[in-house]
Amino acid sequence: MFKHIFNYQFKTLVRSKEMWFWSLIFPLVLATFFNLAFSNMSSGTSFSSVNIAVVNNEEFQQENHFKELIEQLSQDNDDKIFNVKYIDEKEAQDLLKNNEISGYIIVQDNINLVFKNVGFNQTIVKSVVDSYYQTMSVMKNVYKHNPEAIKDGVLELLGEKHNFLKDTSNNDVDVMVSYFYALIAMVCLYGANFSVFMVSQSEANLSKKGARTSVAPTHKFKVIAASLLIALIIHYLEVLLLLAYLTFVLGINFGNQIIPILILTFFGCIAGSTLGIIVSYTNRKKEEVKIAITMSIIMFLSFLSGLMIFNIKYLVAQHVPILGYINPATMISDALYSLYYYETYEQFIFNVVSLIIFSVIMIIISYMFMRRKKYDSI
Amino acid sequence: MTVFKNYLKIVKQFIPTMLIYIVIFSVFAVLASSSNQESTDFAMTKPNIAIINNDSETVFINTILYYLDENSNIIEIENDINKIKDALYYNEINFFLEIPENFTRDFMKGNEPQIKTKKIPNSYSSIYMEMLLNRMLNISKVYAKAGMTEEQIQVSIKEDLTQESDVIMIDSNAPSKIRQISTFYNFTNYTFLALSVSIVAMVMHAFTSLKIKRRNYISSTSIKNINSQLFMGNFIVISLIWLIFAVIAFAMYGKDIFSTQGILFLINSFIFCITTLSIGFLLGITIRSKEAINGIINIVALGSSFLAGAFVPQELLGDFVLSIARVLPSYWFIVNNNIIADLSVMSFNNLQPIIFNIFILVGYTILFFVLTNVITKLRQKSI
Repeated sequence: MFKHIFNYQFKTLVRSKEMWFWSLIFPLVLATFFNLAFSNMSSGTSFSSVNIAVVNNEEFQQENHFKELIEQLSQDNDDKIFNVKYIDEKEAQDLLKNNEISGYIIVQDNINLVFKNVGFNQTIVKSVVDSYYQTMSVMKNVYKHNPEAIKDGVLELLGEKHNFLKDTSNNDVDVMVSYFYALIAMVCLYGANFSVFMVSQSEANLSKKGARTSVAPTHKFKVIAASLLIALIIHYLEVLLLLAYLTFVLGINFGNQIIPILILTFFGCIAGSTLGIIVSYTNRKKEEVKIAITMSIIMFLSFLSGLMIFNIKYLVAQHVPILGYINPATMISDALYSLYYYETYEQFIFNVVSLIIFSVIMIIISYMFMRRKKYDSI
Repeated sequence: MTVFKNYLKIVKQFIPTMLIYIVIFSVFAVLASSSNQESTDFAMTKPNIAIINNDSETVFINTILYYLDENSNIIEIENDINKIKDALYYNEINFFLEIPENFTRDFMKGNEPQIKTKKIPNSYSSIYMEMLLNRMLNISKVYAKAGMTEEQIQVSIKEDLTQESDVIMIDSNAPSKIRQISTFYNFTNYTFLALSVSIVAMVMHAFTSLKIKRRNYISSTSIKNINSQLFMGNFIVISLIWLIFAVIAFAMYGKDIFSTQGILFLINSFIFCITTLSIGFLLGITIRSKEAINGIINIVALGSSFLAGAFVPQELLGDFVLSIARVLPSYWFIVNNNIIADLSVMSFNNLQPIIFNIFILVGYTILFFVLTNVITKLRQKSI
């Protein structure tokens, strides 16, 4: 009997093309957009030269070393940092007001920087000028301590920029990959829509098919179980397609952890399905309202797990850590992250177990609502 | 106005659903605008770092610690690699460094021992920290070469650090919260799109079922007239949504909303709301299945928000992406927000690009509305 219901529910789902087609296409398109948007970011923030102006007054002409430095940094080569205009103060003010330059430098008793706002470009300007000051100070100190050393070429060392730091962050996890983690988490939870759809197909008050099924002398639990199993299988296949697309077409590197990722996404899909079940059974609204509730919940959970803005996840972890522990989207994205980030599986197993606990709780609550439902004549 | 009245009746049925959407999306917008503040300026909040020192407490190590303490917040942490990774993962620290044994001895000898670091990838503050620390060590190396002792290096380094350029800020009379307001409105690109497309499409769906359509088309009212009345109905709903978000903005940013820039943000967002309405209208009329709508809303709202820079600032997106994004109305809305945020002098010259972008948005709105009419006209024949 189970097999019979299973077959027919399978046909029901496969024939509602729009249901599975859109839930398949949507993540693929979104992943492509993500890839497009971040293709530039992951290769390091592209640096373009900063537009600045230098007030060309007498004081500036006298600061020979500084003049040289600015000229050197604005030469047309790969290391070009500044696009410099040498103009008078009035012009510089106008350019700054119209946002044509990030700031201007005016040499008076001291070297002054004039900015309108502070940002990345201004930090670069300030950092260059500060390093000039510090270099001058170093020269003075060395001269005071040991004038001979200058002859020995000690100061030439200043030009050398030796790297004393060795980055041992074990993997180059970039922000881009975390957006994909959040995307996978969201798609797993999307399974909720399948559940809502399948439950509507088997509930008497929601669809004609449901009314027809309810009349049959089949145990209700069997019908629901078969429908949800089908929904889970189809949805999991879609997630697998997404993973394949991400890995083989877009070339996103998830580390060589295929088996754990498959296990994780499977439990992620189950968590998604159970989320849909609970929404279906805890209210008696129409299918549209149920879908609206489901979508809002999924988007909210995804938002908290950093889908739109990555920092949100940190904020949650810092201020309301409990939200991170009960949010299935965070569990999934955390587990994916941990596979890449940690050498051990502790965090991963913790997250998978959390997903299972989450699903079990959802099912228990739904079951309490599901029982003893009777319909009046409809 | 029968259609219009009927529209409002249907809207009433959807009020609970609409409320769910509105509440959720306002929470998004509020959280997003108050979270997205990894500042990139030099007045930034100091990064949190953790240090493990395996060398003995030499004068030179103290100099390094002094220097780091000046430029960052040093967080005490257990010497356990997993604890450190967790701290980095949860952003409790931005940067971690481990000073190796005999660092001072090797360094003073003129060798080049290395400090092991761990950092949060792509974090601006950790890159800044690296730069500062390297600069300090390079200077110390010069001093060591010149024959200074550890104590002398300490004195000199402290002296060098006081050498800084003076920064003069002009034009600080701009309302202080403008940046936050622009982040808020950039994020609403997602909110408005998702909200209006879902709500408009949801309500419009009621008018696209075959029987209703047949009933409507047989009446003496023209399709254009019907569509205009529907547009009016949608317009009222969208204006309400816009108003809700204007009130939220006011609650968060106070009177800054009524500054010239604030008003410009409001105008810009209102125009964009109408554009999203026309998008929702078009989708609601053309797409027949409920299931498809949800997928499409997400592609339109999330996709265009990512491509046009609603979440990730436009400066960080590549030129290639931005050139593609130009076909999206969102791009022009966000560009306008950014221009408004930078606006300091009100003059016709400065306002010109803003007006130009608004015209583009209006153009899109007309285009979508015309498309809607054309499609309904074409579909009419197939009934």
